[in-house]
Amino acid sequence: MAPTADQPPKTGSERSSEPDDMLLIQRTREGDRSSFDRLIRRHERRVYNLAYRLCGNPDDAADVAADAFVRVYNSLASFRGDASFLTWIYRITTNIYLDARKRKRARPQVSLDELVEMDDSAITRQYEDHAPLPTEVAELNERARALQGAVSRLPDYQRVMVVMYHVEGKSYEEIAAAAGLPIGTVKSRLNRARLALRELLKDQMELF
Amino acid sequence: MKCDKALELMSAYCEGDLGPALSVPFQAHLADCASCRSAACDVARLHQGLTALPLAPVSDSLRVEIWRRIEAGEKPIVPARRFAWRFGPARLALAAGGAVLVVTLAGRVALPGAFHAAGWTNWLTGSRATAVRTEASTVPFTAGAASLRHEASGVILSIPVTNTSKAAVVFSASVPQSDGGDGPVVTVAPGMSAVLSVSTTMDSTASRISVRWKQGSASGSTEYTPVRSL
Repeated sequence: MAPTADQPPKTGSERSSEPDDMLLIQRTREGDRSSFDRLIRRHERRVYNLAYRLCGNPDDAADVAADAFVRVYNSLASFRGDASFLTWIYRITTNIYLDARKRKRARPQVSLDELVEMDDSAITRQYEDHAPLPTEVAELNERARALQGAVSRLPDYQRVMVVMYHVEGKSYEEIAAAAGLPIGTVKSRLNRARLALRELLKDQMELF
Repeated sequence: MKCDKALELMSAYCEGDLGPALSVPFQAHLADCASCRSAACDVARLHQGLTALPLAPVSDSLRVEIWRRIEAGEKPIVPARRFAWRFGPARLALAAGGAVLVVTLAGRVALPGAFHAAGWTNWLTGSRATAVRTEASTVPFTAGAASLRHEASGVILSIPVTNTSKAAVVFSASVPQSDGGDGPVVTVAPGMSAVLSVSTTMDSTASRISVRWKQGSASGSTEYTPVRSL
């Protein structure tokens, strides 16, 4: 049975009194499933957003994020804590995304801006958006949507680099270490990725 | 400085990471080149935009789905044991550059210790042949899992093969639809193993390695999807 606790995530001073990730992992190993639920609540948004930036659509992102947590749950016994829990699950999320891409390669990606063909007309694909949409926020959303759409069209190796740097906030050195690449290669790939994004967004640069 | 060089340095410039030796000629080029000025401005704005991407909200249904999968005992997509993020120090001794890099002959049964230390057993269990095109009725070898890694010179794909027949087999490896060259022809004696490696500049995590073999009048080829590292 899944834990039923549904308190909102705590922040600030409340958070400081919360058990850290390693303690929650330890408790989960000992059979306390509510501790893993707390880990999910603590990190699900970051993990989902990483998956979303990689996948480019909310459905696949939720699927990848859910798989990442399942994988983590089944592998907690092997987690030594050499890296942070978030770093670990980021890595797993990226691996799952890349594996999913391989399996779905035969299936074309659907752009967020792609039109859905109907019997008698074409309409813009609609996605549920939970965010409030006052005017100023709408502009931000439009920019984010354009950027996300362009990121989704990058080749995998460039997309992963961009997401690691800009979404995960990893340094060049960390990316180089994680990917087993020289720092210069990481920098040049990110530079090429940004130039590629510029080309993809050349008609929408007024948004930025 | 020419535009190609300026474009290479664009991100470094926007991040203030250009040393004075490059900064001066770069800025001199920008002063003369409207196209690169525009590019520098755009890259800077994209850089800011990417970093400021807002976090999307997460539906409560995600947590429900996570627990549903856990309780259903669903296997995660990623195998429980797979390659580490990067290969360990006992990685295969692959040399960079060149079309085919290393061919390592191993004993009849035991693989070299370095292979075990690098998780070779898991490699073997993770083998995936993606397409098979074999003219012969029997295949005179077995293959372990292909692997992929990045080096400064490009992508390196490798695969271990073991001659399981009673006659020598001639192997060569290549990367389908790539700009890399074919590997050298390697003859593997009965019961012996070899690691076939090939490099390509095709920068993709989805590269495949094709193994062609010939034994007398029989021949065939098989393509394998590598286990990749980023």
